[in-house]
Amino acid sequence: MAIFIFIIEIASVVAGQVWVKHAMEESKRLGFRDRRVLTLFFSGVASLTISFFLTIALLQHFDLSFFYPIQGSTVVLIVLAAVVFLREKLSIQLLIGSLLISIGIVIVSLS
Amino acid sequence: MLRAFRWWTNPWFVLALEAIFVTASEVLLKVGASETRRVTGWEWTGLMSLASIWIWVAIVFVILSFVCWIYVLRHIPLSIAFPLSNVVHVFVPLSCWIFLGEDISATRWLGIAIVIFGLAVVAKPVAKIEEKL
Repeated sequence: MAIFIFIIEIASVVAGQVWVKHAMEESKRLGFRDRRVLTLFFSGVASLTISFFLTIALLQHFDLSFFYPIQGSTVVLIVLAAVVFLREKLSIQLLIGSLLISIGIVIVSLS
Repeated sequence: MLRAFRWWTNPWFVLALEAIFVTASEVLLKVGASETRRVTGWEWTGLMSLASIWIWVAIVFVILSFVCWIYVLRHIPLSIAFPLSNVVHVFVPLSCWIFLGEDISATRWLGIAIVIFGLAVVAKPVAKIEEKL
């Protein structure tokens, strides 16, 4: 059960960020009042809100030191999601840098 | 493209501002939560913390940071902005050390150093692109 909530929590962070970013890209072309832009934006905000409450729920059951390192992995996942879904450029530096940030977060929270 | 921005509307500046707002909100949430810890009965909801003024100030910072983040996403690719926004993992422990007097272990300093190194690796190609513009 817990692993299931973890997966939904991480998926909703990644989806939320990708949707909000996609909304911002589309808003340059279509403006903020466009229906598509608003749908993307509020889907993103809703998704981030869900992840916020799932985070609190998970924090009630697990120690922060167990939970936080898993959060660190979202850095790499969001970079990869941006490359796959938003066609952003992936460079070797970006991948190495994101991995280092993730590893650093894990060490910060484990100590 | 970015040269056309004034310094306070420069997306990189706003990204730094976003990280500072997140840091401020985290520190203030901690202060507010500690202040209202003695209240009993409903503490599991976290709602009792609303009795502290610091929690309200923190909420304002959360909102400001989200507004900044939206602005940043309008101008910077998500795959660059999100890793860089993780500078909060450096700012928060440092603020806790400076303002709240919390201890930082040697391992934690190592983690902070690795995060800074990772940020530099992500930021370096970006800095080169900026120079060319």
